[in-house]
Amino acid sequence: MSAAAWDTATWSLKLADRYFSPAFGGEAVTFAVDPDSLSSIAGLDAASAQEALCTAVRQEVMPGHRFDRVGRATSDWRRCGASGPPPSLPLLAVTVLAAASMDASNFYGPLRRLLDPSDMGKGIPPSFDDHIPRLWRELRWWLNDHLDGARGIATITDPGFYVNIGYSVQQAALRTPDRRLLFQFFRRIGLVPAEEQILPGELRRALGVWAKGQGQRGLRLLRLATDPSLEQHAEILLADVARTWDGRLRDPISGFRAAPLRLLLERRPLRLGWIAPRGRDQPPSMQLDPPHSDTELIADGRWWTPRPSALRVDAEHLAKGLELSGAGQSFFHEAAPAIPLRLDPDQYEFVSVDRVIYGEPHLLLVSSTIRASVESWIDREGLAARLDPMATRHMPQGWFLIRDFYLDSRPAHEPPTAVVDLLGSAGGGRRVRLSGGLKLRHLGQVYLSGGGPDIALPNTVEHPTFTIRTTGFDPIERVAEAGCEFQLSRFDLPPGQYEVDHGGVALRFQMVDGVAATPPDGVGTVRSAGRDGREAAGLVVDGPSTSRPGSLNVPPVGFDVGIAIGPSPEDVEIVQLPRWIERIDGPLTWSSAERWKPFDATWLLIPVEGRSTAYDAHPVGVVPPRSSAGGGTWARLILNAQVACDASETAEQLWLAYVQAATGD
Amino acid sequence: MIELTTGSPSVGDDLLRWASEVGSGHWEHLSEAAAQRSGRSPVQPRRAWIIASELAALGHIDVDWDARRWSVAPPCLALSPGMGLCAYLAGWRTQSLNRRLDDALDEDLDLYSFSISQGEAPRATFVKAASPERLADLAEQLHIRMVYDPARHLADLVDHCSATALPLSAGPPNDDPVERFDEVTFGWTTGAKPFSPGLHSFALHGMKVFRVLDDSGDWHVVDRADGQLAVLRGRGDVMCWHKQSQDAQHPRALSAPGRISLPALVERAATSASGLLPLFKNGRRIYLNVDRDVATTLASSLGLVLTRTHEIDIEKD
Repeated sequence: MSAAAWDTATWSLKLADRYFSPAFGGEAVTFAVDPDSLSSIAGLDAASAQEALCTAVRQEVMPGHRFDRVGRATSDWRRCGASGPPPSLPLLAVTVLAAASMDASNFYGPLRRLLDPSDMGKGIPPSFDDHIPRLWRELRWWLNDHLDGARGIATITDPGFYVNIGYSVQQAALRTPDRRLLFQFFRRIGLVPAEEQILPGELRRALGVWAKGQGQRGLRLLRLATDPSLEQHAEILLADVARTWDGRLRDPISGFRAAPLRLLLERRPLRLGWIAPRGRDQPPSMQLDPPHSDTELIADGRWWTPRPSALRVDAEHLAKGLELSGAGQSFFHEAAPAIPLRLDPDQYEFVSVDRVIYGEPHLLLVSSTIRASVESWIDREGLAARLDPMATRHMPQGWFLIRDFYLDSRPAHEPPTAVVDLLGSAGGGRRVRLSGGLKLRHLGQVYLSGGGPDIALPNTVEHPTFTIRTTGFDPIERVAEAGCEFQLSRFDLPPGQYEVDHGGVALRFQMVDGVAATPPDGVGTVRSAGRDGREAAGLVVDGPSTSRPGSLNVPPVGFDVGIAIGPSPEDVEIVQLPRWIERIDGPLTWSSAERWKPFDATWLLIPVEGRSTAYDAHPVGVVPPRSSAGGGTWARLILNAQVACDASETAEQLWLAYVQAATGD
Repeated sequence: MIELTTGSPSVGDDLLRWASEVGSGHWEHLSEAAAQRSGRSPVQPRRAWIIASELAALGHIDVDWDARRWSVAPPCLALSPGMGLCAYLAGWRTQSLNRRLDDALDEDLDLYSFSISQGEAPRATFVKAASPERLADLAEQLHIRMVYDPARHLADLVDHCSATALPLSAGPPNDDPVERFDEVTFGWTTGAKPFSPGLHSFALHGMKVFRVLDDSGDWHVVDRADGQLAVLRGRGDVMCWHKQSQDAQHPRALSAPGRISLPALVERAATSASGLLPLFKNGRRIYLNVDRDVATTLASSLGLVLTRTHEIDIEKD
C-alpha cells in the first residue's frame, strides 16, 4: 500500500519505529518530525510525505478539530494495557511540523493550515488545550514509565509558560540531522560519554559558540543554544542527550548508529586510503549509494575496503568530512585538522583513530592550518615526533604527516586545541572541565587521593580565575597558570567533597582514599599461562600448593645460618635468617625460624666460637632419635657437634642418644 | 639500592591502589592512569609498559598483552624460604586492606611490619611474625590467601618454547636499518647483508620488531626475550646463581645480564623469592634470595645452563 493511503494506525507504527526504535534504548530521544525524515519513512518526496501524514490525521480529527477522538483513543489504548505505540503519534507529529514552520510566536496558524489548507484562521483551535498537552504527557509516560526507556528516554519536559504549544516547540528544536551535528559537537569538545559531570549551562554556552561556526546547518542548534524561551528545555535536553550518548555518530536520516570511516596509511608504497569497520554476518560486498554509486565496499575481514580505489582521500574530504552510505548503513569521516593514526593489529598498517592513547606510538596527520602550532608544541614538549617531509607529496594537498608521536604522560605544555581534542582527558578546549587524575571511572567524579584532577578552563577565557570550596575551609581563589590549566593535583587534596566555581559554572568532585573494601569483580580474571595448561593469577598458581612450613626455636645466642637436625638420618635442613634485610630495616630479632622440610627439627646446629654446637630447637621438647644407623651427613654433623653448655640434663641425655645413634651403636 | 621507606607514595604505589580500586580493564585505561600519575612525578616519567611490567613481576597484576587487558591479582601474603618468617603482600592492595593490616598489627605483638622502597615502583610491604601459624592467622584475619614458596610454583609453571616452534615470517624490508644481537656483549650492532643467523631487530610500521634467522635461512617472529634466549640456548655464562655468604649478610641470588630480557613469568618467579624487584649492579640484574633449585629450574626452562658463582654484594656498586 502506498504511504499516501496509510491510515493513522499505520503512521503510528511507522513513526514509532523511526523515532522510538528499540535501537535507541536508554538514549534521550526527540520526536523531531520533519519533512525529510517523513520522506524517508514513506518513500515519497518530502512534500508528498508530509501531505500523506496530514491527510491521515485530517481523516481522524477534521472537520471541527475533533482532538477529543484522539484523546479518547489514547485513553482506551492506555486502559487496555498500552500495547503498541500510542495512537496520538500522527497528531502529535503534525503539531511538531507546525512548530517547525512557525514564525515568531504564530504556531496555530501553521497548525490550522496543516489540518485544513483552506483554514486561514488564527488562534488556538477548539479543545486543543484540553487534549494536546495531555497526549504529550501520555507519550512521555509510555516511553519513560511503561517501556522503562527501552525505546528511548523522552525529552518531553513541562513547557512552563507555553503550556499548550511548548511541548511541540521543544520537540521541533532538535531534528535528526541536528542530533548528528550535536554528536559531532560532543566529539569536538571531547565529551567522554557517561564519565563526566554534565554541566548543562556550560554545554549550552559551548554549543552556541560552536554552532555559530557551522553556518546554515547549525542554525537550529544555534537557536536551541541561544533562544531564551528554550533555555530550560535546551539545558535539560542537552544534558539528557549527553548523558546517554554512546560516543558514536548517527545517520542523518534514520538516526541509527553510523560507523566511522577510517583512514588507512599503507606503507609501501606510501598511500592514504579509506576503510570502514565491518560487522559480523555482513555480506562480502556492498554497493554504495549516490553520489558514490560507482564504488563498492569489499569485505576484508573486519573491515570494508572501497573498490575501485577511485574513492581517494583528498583534502576536501579531510577538511569537510565524508559520508558514505549503502545497504542501509552509514559511514562518516568527521572533519578535523589533526587526525591520529595507530597500528591496527588486523591490517598491520596505521589506521586513524579517535583518540591518542598514552604510551602508544602514533602518527599524526595535520592540516597546514595548525602545522606550525603543533610542531612548536612538540618542540616545547620535547617529544621525539617529527614531520616527515618525504611523506608530504603522498598526502592530500595541505596535509602533513608527523611520525613517532608518543606521549608517556600528560603534556606539560598546553597543546593546540586540535590536539587537546585528541587527548581525551587532557584539559582545555571549549569548556571548563576536570582533567587528568586517578579517576575511579565507575563512580563518576571520584578521584583517588594522590591523583586529584586538574582544572582546565576554555582557551578563550580572559580571566582564568576560579574558586575552590570544600567543607570546613574558607574558599580559595586561584588563577590558572601557563595558559588555561591549573594543576589542582599538586595540592594533594585530602578526602572530601570539592567544588570548583568559574564564571557561574560549578564543577563538583570527590576525593577518596579508597572505596573497595573487598576485591571488586574482575580481580584475577586475566591470568598468566604456563605449562600444561596451568595458569597463575599473580603469585597464586593452579595446582597443589606447598604445605605450611614448620618452625624451630631460635636459641638466645642467635644465629645467621644453621643446620636443623631431626630424629632420622634424612632429617637435615639448612636454616638461614635474612640478615641482609637488617641492612635495610635495622636490627631484627627472631624467636623462631621457618623450616620447609617435613620433619621434627630437634636440634639446631650453629657455630659457636668455632665449634658446631647443638641447641634444643623443638618447640615442645627434644624428640628421641628414630634410627641407629651410622654414617652419612646426619651422623657426621652430630659427631662433629657438641651440645650447648647450658642444655638441660634431659637435653644432654638425649644428645647422647643421638650421638650413639650416629655412631651406629 | 633498596632502602626502607618513610616518604610519599610512589607512582607505583598510587597506580597499584588505583588498579586495585578498579579491578580490571583495558590496557588503555591503565596506560592513561600511569600517564596521569607519572606526569606529576618529579622524576622523568617512565613508560606505562615498564610500570606495568614491574607490577606484574611483583605479582600485583597480570597483563594479557595480546588482548590488551589487565587485572589485579587476588591478594595474598607470600612467604618464601630463607626470608626468616618475613612474608610480603602481593596482589590487590587498597587503603582498606592497609588499614585492616594496621589494625591487626596493633592487636598482636607477635607481628611486625616494615616496607621497603623500590624507587617509583610500589613499595614492598613485609610482615614479620613469630611463627608460620601466626602468619596464616593474619592472612585469614585479612581474608586473603597465604601462599608458600611462590618462586618454586611459578618456576614449575614456566614453559619456554624452542626456536623451531616460532612462527615463520618475512625478513627485514630491503632498505631499512637492521640491528643484530651480539651474543658476546649482549648488545646490538648494525646488521649487514647477508644476514647471519641470530636475532635481529628493525622498525616495522614505526615499531621495533624482532626476528630470529635460523640456520636454514628462515626468519621467525619472536619477542625480544624469546629471541635472545633462542640464540643463547645452551650457554652457561648467562644465568648465575650466587650462594649466600657465611654470615648471611649477602643473600643467595640469581643474576642475569641486564641487557637480556626474561619472559614475564620468569621475572615473576625470580622476584617472588624475595618480594623485591631485582637490583642492577655491574651490568647484571640480581634477584635476591632465589634458592639453587628454583634457579636451576628457571635456567633449564629457558634452555640455559646455570653457573654457580661467588657471593653477591648488595651494597657495593
